[in-house]
Amino acid sequence: MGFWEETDVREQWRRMLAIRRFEEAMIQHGDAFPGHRHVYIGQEATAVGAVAALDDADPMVTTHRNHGHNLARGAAAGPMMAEIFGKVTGFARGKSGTFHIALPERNVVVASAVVAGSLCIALGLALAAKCQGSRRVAVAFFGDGAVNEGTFHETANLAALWDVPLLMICENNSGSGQPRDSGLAGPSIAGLAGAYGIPYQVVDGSDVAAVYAAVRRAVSVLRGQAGPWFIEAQTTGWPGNRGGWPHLVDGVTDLTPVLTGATLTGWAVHDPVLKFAAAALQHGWSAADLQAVDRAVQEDIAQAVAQAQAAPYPPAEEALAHVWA
Amino acid sequence: MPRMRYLEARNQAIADLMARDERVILLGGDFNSPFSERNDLRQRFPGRVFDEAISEMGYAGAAIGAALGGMRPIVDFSTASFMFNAWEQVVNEAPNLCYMSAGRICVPVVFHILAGARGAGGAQHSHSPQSMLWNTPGLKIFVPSTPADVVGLLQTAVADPNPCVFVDHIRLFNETGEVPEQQGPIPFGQACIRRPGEDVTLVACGAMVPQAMEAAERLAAEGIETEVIDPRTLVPFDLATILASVERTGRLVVADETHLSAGVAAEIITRVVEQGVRLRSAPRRVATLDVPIPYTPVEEAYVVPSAERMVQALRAVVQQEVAS
Repeated sequence: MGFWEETDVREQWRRMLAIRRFEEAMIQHGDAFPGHRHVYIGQEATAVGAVAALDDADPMVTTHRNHGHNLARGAAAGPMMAEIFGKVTGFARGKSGTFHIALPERNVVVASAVVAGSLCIALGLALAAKCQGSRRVAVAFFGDGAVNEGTFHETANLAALWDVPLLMICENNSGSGQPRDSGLAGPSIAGLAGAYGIPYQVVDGSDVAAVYAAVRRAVSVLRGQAGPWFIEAQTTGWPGNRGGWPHLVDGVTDLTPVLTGATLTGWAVHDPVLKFAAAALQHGWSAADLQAVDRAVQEDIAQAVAQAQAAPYPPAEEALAHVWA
Repeated sequence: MPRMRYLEARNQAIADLMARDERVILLGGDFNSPFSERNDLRQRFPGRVFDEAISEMGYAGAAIGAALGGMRPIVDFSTASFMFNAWEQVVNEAPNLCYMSAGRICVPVVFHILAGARGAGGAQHSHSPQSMLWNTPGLKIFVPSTPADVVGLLQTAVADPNPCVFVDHIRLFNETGEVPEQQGPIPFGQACIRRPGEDVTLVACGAMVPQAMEAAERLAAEGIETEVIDPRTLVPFDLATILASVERTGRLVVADETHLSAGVAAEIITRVVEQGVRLRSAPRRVATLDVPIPYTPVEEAYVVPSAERMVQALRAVVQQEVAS
């Protein structure tokens, strides 16, 4: 038993596409808003697989690369796109933009754009869960760069010391054929967790079933209030990720080759969306089914873009609002 | 009404808050600095005091997360200079989260610091970061100066859904004062006139208040009556009380332990002056000089504010009249 048997596979596929098509649309409409933007293309299986293994009550924190985590938890595309465009209909009325999208009603509590900034906050969420005697597991998503920050080490040490239910999911998207983290002096990222006595596992972050299994295993332990746990989810970085200015190097994702069984080349071999489709076909889903979901997602996102374009900006004086709760 | 030491009142207030509300947890120093008296909070409240490691950033972030998770954490950094280790969380996370979410989330956390020169602390143990924190929108800042105030303001802080900084001071620990049996919360944004006077307004907060009162007594012997006003909170700030006083006296001195440059005294004077109140002489600030704090006592005494320096400033504003 595993991902393909235990989850609503259609919904998981929808979420994979919701992330991919959202990011593509955002890149295509990149002139509509200022500032850097960070996409989750190439990492979808990590968010989707992880969320499928969690309960809704488990709080998550994320980073500036947050669209995938929110969409995986079922966030609506409309208020997210509007937020990125800086419009008043955005989930934070334009106060956040792309950097800080965190939907508390979806239990995505914080998105910090400071590398490692949300890590010790996740520690606190786990501490609260333990203080309250709840069965919640706090989940921190962060990138490979974060493990070079002191905050990571303080978080890991305190989480182990306090024995709190914190699941750390490090998304290492630095690619293959090159040092996985050129900023790391030690041999591995996951091994850093071992230095604190934290159980750790390396998983293929582009394999949704593998991520799901790893997170299922972790939460089964943590939900007994034993913790923490560390998962390094490795993916091969999407070539279009150029720092703060992603670029659709190969255009939008074309499902046809994988749905017709063609041989994939280049980065497509590592593409988690295509890998999901291939695996779904093997588990009895039809190409028509998969494409139908894609069409519905694309319509939904086109509508989100249109609504975002049409919506007004907030009045300038609203900058003075929302300082205080 | 019982008379208590400030330190005793403060520690009792913390214990009372923890006894009344199981959401209150302590991270960091648990108010057991080397200059405090040992307390039994850890024994009385097992599982609610977390202070094993020296990890200011970790504690600050954990407190923010715990607050988001439904707790009411108090982080004790102990010496204020150590708050800098947690700066990212204190100034770039806690005060921003409500704003960046357009009010969807809030962070009910209290950050505690022992600010100022404690005596022979040297440059790395003597900071008064409250001016830097006042320059960071989204943080409330309270600066008690009496035992009753520390009890009342701390209650308000723990109940507040916003991040609050408790600017505490070792030099207040042995100050005594009356504390009502049922001292309730004191609202933020209400200054207190510690001593009425007609001739000159002297604004001072925290550990500067006893010095200000001493300066006022000395000037009274010279026939000059000083009105001592204690803002009690920097954010929110009660300008109206100070303005009304300066409108009466026409003379203003502000004494604060933050540095001259971009300090609390500079900010308060600006807020008063820009209202266009008629002044009889130029306002003066008595602040820590713009140098790191030296270790040797004679130099430390030279750079930090004192009753003597306040007396000199008060005499100066009274003796000078602005040519009309």
